[in-house]
Amino acid sequence: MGLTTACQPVLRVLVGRVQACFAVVLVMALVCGVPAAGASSGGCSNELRREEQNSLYLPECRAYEMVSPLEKNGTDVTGNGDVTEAADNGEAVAYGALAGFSETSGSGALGFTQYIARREEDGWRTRGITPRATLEAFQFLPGAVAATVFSTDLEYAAIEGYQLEDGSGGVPKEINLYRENTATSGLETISEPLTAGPFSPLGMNGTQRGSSADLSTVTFETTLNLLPEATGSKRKLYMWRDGQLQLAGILPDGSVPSGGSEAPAGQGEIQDALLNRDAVSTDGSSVAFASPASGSPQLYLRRNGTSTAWVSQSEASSPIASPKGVRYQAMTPDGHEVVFTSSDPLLDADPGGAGVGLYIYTDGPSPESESNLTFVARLNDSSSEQLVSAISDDAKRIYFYAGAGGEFATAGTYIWDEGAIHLVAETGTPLSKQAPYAHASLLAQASANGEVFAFRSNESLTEEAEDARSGQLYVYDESTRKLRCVSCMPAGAPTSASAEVEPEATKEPQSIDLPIRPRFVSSNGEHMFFATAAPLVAQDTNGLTDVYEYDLASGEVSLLSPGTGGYGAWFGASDESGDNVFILTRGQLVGSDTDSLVDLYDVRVGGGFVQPAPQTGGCVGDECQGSPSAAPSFNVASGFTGLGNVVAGKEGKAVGQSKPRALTRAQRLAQALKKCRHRSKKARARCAAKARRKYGPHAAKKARKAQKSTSNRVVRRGGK
Amino acid sequence: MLRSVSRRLTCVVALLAALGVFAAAPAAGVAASSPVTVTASVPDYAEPGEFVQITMAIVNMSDEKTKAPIVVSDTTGSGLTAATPSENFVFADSSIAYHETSEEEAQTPACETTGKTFECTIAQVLPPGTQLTIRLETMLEGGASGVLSNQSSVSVGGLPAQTSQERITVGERGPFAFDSMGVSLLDREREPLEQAGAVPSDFTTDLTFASGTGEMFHLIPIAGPVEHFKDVTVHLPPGLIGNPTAVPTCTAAELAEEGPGGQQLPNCPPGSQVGLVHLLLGGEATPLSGLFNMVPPPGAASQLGFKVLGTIVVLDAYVRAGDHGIDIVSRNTSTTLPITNVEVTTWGDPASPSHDRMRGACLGFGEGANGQTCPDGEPETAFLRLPTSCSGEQLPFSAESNSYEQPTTFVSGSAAGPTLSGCEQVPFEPTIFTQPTTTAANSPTGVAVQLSLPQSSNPLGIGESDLKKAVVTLPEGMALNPSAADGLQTCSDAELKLDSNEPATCPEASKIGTVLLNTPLLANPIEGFVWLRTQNSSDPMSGEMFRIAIELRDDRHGIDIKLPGQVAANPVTGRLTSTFDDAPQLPFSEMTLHFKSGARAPLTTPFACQPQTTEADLYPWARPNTPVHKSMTFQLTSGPEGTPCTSTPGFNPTFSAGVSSVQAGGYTPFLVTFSRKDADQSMQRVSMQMPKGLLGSLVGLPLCGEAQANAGTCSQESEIGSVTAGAGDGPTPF
Repeated sequence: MGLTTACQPVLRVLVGRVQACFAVVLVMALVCGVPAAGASSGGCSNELRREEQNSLYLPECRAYEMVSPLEKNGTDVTGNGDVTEAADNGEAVAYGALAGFSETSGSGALGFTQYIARREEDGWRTRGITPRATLEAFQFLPGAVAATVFSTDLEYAAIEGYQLEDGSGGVPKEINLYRENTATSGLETISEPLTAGPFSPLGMNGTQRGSSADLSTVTFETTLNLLPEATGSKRKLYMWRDGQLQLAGILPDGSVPSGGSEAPAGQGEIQDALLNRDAVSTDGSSVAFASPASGSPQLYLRRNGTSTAWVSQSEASSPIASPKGVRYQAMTPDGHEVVFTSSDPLLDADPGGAGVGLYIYTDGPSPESESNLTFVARLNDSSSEQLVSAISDDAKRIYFYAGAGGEFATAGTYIWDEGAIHLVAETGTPLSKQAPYAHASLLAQASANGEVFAFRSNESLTEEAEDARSGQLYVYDESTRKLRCVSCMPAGAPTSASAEVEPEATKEPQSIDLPIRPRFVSSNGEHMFFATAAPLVAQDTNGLTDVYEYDLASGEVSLLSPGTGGYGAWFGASDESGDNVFILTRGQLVGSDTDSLVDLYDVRVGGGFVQPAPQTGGCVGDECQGSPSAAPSFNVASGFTGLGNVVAGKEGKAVGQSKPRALTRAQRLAQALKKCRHRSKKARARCAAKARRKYGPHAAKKARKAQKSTSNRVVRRGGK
Repeated sequence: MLRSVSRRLTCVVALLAALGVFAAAPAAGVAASSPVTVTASVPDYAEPGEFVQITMAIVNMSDEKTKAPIVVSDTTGSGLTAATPSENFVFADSSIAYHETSEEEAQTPACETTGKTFECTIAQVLPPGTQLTIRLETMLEGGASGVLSNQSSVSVGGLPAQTSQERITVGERGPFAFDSMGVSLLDREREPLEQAGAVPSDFTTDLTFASGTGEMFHLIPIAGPVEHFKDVTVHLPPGLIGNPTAVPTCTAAELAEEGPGGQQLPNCPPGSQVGLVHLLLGGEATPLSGLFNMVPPPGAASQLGFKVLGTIVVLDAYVRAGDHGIDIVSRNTSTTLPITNVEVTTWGDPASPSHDRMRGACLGFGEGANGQTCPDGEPETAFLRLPTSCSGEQLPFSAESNSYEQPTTFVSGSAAGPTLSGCEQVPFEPTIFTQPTTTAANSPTGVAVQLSLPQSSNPLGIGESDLKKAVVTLPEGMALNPSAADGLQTCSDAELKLDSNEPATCPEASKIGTVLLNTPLLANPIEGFVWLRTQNSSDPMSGEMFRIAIELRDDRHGIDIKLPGQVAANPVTGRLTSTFDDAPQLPFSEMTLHFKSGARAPLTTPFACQPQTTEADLYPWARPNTPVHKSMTFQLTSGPEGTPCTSTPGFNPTFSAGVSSVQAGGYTPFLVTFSRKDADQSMQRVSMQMPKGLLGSLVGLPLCGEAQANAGTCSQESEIGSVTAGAGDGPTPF
């Protein structure tokens, strides 16, 4: 395994020829529509929001909430690869983009920046969480900053990156591991050496492995000797627990294995990283690891940092000192059970021979038995295969693949249900090999009790899948022992598109995959989510990829994206209950989304926020000044208490108006004189004289008499 | 020790370069007539005993290959050893090695050192779009202190050398700062362009940030920035504009996707490439990247974008408040790469065949260097335009930036562009049209004013001058309408937010009109409003008594332009003159103002039906003292309220008067009313004769003096009556 693969579990950055160049460089130079059942047509408390969004078709009173901000620095939310992870309770979600926005601080390879969005009373708030590397960091080289794993509540992130600017300590001028408080950006250095070194370059690249649910425990492996007790040049698995660094790879006798130690699933592809992520119990007390302590690599379980159990120790009557072909398969969340395979029989119940024995290790002998091991079956398969697809939280149900042979008449995926084995589906190859994605283990998830098992298969496994395009989503219900293709069109109609549980909303040439496992099955197994371009309901008319929900109880599918319009939608992640389903789309599902960039939405049960009122251009014209006021009133009649000479008029009109009054003599004189001005000098003098004779003071007496007579008439008329 | 490590790791850099990681070069200096740009880079800070790398990146930005030879020289100053070649001393694009000269020939230059001057002659030609990187190294002597100097120069094909002087400060890294800023505007012959209103062939902005020495993994020498820059704003001078509607656009998805030319190239339409970008990362030059005209996000007038080594950078363009120049902003810039130098070249005519060898796959695969062309199939059109004014001063460019480390501290840089000339050649052919909204005389009316300027997209021509000032004088008799005052409010300066890009918060009741502006810069017209501002003076001639403002607002593109205007009223004739000065240096093809109509319209038409003439003087930015005079005539066809036109208005006012008590010798109020109709002439003087014996008793009443009366401060005791007045044309006088 070269360095190229060593960095892959953490951050797989494919840049075409450049990636190939990297390998060369590193090796050579450095290292050497129709509402479905469950849809509500009223009675939801958020009905108004649903009406505003035109999302009444959504089942279970779901409504859209825009999670990513409108202001995204002109860039899509990354919708390619697995970078989206929901908090268990659905109140937060992690996602990424190739640009900085929302209080961003730094960015990683290719400008990839990670964000946490948290739901608040009035909407989702996004915060950039990618820290800055130091000034010398050339993130085209290994050491690009990335959050590789999150706590289940997204309060913390494990960060891997070249010597962060805001981090303290760590291995100098080297890639380091940190725990970040995603609300404050505070950093704690995980890879804090307690030795002086020297430290060889790139010894910390791609090292993060497992973690507890709250990230108080993080495991990583490196060739560097960070502790005095760590020696040699082999890889060693370290455990950072409550701020203290210690070696996780310690043998039951307390010694440090000379052959080194590593995370139990190895360090290959992303799916191995996912398996390793689960190899630490949720409370951090149990850490599984592998070590070639004596010959072949063996599995161990480090407990509370104080003792170690040998998981793959033979309990046969004729025990094998160093069983061969031991491979880690799964661990229960409490770390109490480890499921693994072994080429050599470890119990007398295992007939041995070809293939591998599938075992459950239970930590601490049960009261009834001195044995820690439970034999499940001997499988006719290679010891290097990932054969277990999913287990229940108590390991009482295990879904595994078995090739034909031995006790298995046909190759297929089986369930071991507390001792009984049933055929789930006749899959010709392990589900882990049917991956179109890097995350093979993404393709199969079980409910917490293991009763429901959902998986994507390229094979046609049911009648309705006969005419289906390769790659459909199947659901097996152990309670009925029935298998159904939930992404297939109803029987008789060919299914023209495959079902996807990994988004392809964007098509960046660089694939950024993080070892996160977007949940597509609710914890209780009642809901499954996927995307397909097949129109599974009548409302889906746009011929594009849309997100669907399958309801186990009703056996019906419902649209979680509009199914109409010019944009498709992709499934991103869901929370534990399935109440919050995060989808990616360029569509504008709420009023505040005004661009066609890819956004992250929560299709939330009882969700929806009040949208800002759409901006209008405001008033136009006369209406801007409101209603006209009443015209000024000149109704003088109201002022009279006795007799007067004014006749009241109609409301709003000037009243008391007498007939137009004749011009006074003086006015007439002025008017006449004005007219005279336009004449010649001689004519003007004659004109003026004539005017004065007619209207001048000499004639004024007669005129005054006439005026007096008129006034009297007015008074008389008013005084009747 | 440092040296040996450095040498070991230089091969890493060489490998990266060989793989196309470091392949083409940016440029800081653009010499007149030179086909190349040269960026010379050394760290700004270094410690005694440290080796520092001197990088000279030579890029052929022209459409023809250069002539051999390339002569480089470097002279180190006191405190620095003479420069020596690094292991990868001459580093050429693979396309050069394959297609033009042998790699061996290029890698074996003739060099000699004379004193502290190192000089090499390289038998190399550079095809269009290719670059050659020269790497030298020098060491700070043990006792070095203060500021050391280094001079490097590059001569290509016998042309005059381009020389740059770099400084190295001995000691720890200094504060975040711009090390330098440069701009160049070149014509098609790569000569400096000074013609106002012309379309530049290349407009290049170069920003260099302060850098220091460092290393990664204890191995790789990196000349990194002293801090990570976060936001960078480049302020373009007013009038230097780009037209995003002139060329196709690229979406964010297309920029991120892999194009047919390979992963290093986006999937943008070829026609959307509008330039080139090259960077210095950690002291190394990146390949040339295409610059694309992006679909702008909400809130930005336009956006440019590029992708370097997979990292996307977008540059948003905004119309800034104040002088309405364009700001180019990179916000929350990625910290992925240790960028120390950014050089952005924007093409004035993106479809020009001169760029065919540096577009799309021709750029990415070096096919352009091999003689292939990649035309974009779009018609040639002007994407850039220089200001249309000639201020006599150099065009001011400036930049601001902060860092992630100190986000509230902004540093600035500046550069002077050319002094524009030739304003007499800048065309200015406006047309203006005004029309009242009613054809009735002496009636409330709105007015439509339409101003047009022909805009050309000819990349070889000179653009139409922007309008600086408009003075519009309405016909005599077209006056302010008092009826408009009913319900009318005004907008305060604080509400208008004149020097801000924020939308005005004026009362709706202060809106007296609407505006529609068509600009070639936007696909859709911008709408806006005319606001009535608060009165600043009681002098009607001052222009401060009647103040208005135009607000053009386009939220989609983040545009909010406010243009204050003054309306002066002749106190004798009442004639109104509106003046809008210092209009934005932004091109528009048509602007239409609609002052609202209706009973409360702000204006009234003249009394007479005779032809009415509006006069306009329009001043171009190109010749701000030489207005173009325009006059327009409109005809009123009726009198008010449906009455026929009359050549002489009538005058039939009404009068009434009376008392409320007829008790002889008694006391009584006296009431009198005068009125006139819209069709009547205005009253010039009123006199009234009281009946004999009707007397007023003023005994015991205090008198209000003239001054008090003018000031409106008469005492209550002096009040002997009240007056109600109604004014304004139309059915609802105020």
